[in-house]
Amino acid sequence: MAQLAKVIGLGVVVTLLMTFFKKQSSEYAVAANVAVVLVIFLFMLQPLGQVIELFRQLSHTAQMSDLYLGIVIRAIAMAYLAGLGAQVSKDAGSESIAGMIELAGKVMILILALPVVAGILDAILGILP
Amino acid sequence: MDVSLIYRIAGIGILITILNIFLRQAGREEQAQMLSLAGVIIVLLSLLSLIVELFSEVEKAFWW
Repeated sequence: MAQLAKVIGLGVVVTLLMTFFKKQSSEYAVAANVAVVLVIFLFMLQPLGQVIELFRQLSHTAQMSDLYLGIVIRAIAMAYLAGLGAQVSKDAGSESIAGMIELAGKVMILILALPVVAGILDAILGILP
Repeated sequence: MDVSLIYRIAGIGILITILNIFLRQAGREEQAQMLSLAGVIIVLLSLLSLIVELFSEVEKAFWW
């Protein structure tokens, strides 16, 4: 709860501060925006790490294959990073760069998931007589 | 949560904006532009460390 209050307070304060900059020099508004996004994301990484740790223990208890959960977790991380970058450049007003960042994230996640697709094909070939 | 960098960026922004206004009033457009460019570069350099920290922390939180 206190962490959420910190994040909300920081966001609101810097948003108010940015309204001053936007008229005069928007480049500092963009930089401060990026800094706020990064700080809040870094702040949220620790609780996120706890959740990931729980998932890891659960998969260990269920004796799941490490490969697949690892791919899922990596895909989540890549999606977070790509989304963050895309949001920042969308805020700065360059929609096309944001679109390209999102495209790169999608392609990279797809490449990451290729072993899973191969595994499905293998399983299907195993079932077929 | 280390918010000092955000306020440092905002402070640099305010300072350079004010200096920019002075230079523009004095009729030195070229120097005003160079000053604002220098300010942006300084701010971006201080953002760089935060970005590096972001990537290392993400790697730490999502390690497999």
